[in-house]
Amino acid sequence: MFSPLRIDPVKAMQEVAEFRRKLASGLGSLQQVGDVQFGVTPREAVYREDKLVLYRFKGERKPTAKTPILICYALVNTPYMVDLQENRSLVKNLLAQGEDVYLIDWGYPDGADRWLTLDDYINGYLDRCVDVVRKRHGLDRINLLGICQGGAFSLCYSALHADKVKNLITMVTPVDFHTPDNMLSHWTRELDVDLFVDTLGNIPADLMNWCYLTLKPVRLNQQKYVGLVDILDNPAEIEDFLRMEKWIFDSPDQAGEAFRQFIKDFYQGNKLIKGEVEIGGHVVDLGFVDMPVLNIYAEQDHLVPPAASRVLADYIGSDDYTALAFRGGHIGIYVSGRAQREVPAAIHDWLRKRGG
Amino acid sequence: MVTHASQPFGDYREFAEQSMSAWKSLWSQALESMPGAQAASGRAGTGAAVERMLQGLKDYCAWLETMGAASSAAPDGLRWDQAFSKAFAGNLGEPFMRAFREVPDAGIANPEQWVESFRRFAAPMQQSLQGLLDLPAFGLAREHQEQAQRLGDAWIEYGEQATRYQKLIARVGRLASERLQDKLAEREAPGNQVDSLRALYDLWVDAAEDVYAEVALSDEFREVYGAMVNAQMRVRQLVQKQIEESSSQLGLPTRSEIDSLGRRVQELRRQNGAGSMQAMREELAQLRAELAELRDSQRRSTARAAGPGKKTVAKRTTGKTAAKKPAARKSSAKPQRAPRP
Repeated sequence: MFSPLRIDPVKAMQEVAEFRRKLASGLGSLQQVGDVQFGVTPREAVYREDKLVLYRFKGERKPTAKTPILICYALVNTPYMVDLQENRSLVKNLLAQGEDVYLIDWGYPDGADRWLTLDDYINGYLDRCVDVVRKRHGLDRINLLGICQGGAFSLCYSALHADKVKNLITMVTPVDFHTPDNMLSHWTRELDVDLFVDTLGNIPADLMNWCYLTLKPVRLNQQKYVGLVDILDNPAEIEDFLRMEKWIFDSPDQAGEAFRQFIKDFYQGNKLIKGEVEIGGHVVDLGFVDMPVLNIYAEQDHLVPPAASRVLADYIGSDDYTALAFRGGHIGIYVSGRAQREVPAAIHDWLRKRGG
Repeated sequence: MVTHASQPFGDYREFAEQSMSAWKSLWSQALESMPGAQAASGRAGTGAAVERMLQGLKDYCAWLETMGAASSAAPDGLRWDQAFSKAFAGNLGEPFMRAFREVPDAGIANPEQWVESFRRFAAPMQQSLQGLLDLPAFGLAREHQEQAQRLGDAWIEYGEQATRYQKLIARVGRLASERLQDKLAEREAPGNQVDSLRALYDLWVDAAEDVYAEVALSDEFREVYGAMVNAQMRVRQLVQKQIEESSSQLGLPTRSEIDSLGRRVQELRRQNGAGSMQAMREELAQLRAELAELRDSQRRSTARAAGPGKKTVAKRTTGKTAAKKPAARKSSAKPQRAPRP
């Protein structure tokens, strides 16, 4: 019989000593790193409303696409995961393909935004941003790209305003919120959401982040930082790591009323696929999503399990539906090397075949 | 005034005053002991990242030291399970639990820390508090006393639910240890063995996360988690109510008042907000343009009718002339069509 442990005691002590050395010298490196920023592609603010800013990105060449893309991100993070750094930017790569890209930055809600509802976000802010882009380009319809919760918003919007959406792309978007492997959804089921929102008002970003960390508590609170020690001697890698850290934790609070409805109707009630979500008094029927749809999901996504996304095909009214599975996680689909090569090209090719 | 045969105080008025003083003292001390509202500045910066890193590494470093010593204690590797179990029994579950309890840099935004600090302060007084909670309230201060009693009850309930949750997490820690031993048992073949502390740690993380996922997706966890969060929110809501009452007595605006104002403002904005104001401005601009065109058209007609050389005073329009009906605004309502089956 052999032991599964073949750890040489001398090497073990050397390992401990080496770890200590790396940590000690690495702390000095960390102090040399300046401020890290994300959102690298030049952009122009073309519309503002309350805390929202609608940006148009500027590529190195003029866009060749006939129809612009409007990116609708989730409310739970800043949208710059799509433009994180020079060599990890969905936006930059779309611009390089000739696309014309706009993005909604929802801003950081405060007490003044406490009473914003999903109707205010979807039929209000999002609709007005769509109108701004339509007017700027003299178009009846534009392309809409929704990400995660922003994808759910985009589905609702496309069902309610199909006349304004030419092509719809959803990325890592939950559709069925009650798949058995959806941990976040599982945890919300016994929550008294009314008590939660009535008590907290806007939901603090720190609380949201803590919740996400507890999805994988040891990996995200400890193992990740053990791995960091190994790269402390590489300034470029440290900067990349810190940039990602900043994006993860620089999160907005959630407007109370919008949060209430989203958790109760989508997470607890799973009403999107039941056709029971009401936004501003109008029922969202996914059958009215009849424009071409490209649904991209990540196969190792622990926040939006693939099963939660894949079912979209069963509910929309479109005859032109394409699913694209990406080998990676919820964040990797934007920042991995493979993502830079595969995802923008797939989006561009798909749009080009549908009149761009 | 109602009297109780078992009432421990002779004069109930004195008792009521003493109990209110005790509650007030409890609150003011609890408020002082709560984490201050730390500024969010630096939360997302390099300094904050270093803090998170050091927090996460504290337990890993301790674990490394322990495992380094354990591997030295079993140089032949054949008693690995004994040395191993001893090392993990003392060390493994705790870092896992700590990953849950400690939320770096959350400050007052983390309700768990916020209520925990109050709980730690009041725990020694729980027994005497329970006696106060069971007494009925009387007199001018009865509403305040009842609220304080409700808070006490809520705090005790939260303590019970938090304990259930932490017991569940502790179970995960123990199960993770067992799962790790299972995983190790699969790696006895030469070439497949664990040959470094880091590899052992990574294997332990795999085991811990596997077990955690199984437990976190269970019905038991769902019920316990929901009960804990709901209990926490009740405590927080009742504390906020106490703070509001004090603020109100000091003439300070309260969160409820601001919320009421905000709600009314948002409703007004929906009725007359950016979207509708913009639409009205556009319609007004369109109407002005059409009116200007009508006037020009009328002047030209009048000039033509007068012919060359004839001077005619253009008739001023009264404004009552029927204006051309403005083009219908493009309806934003979705055209009705039968939903797809």
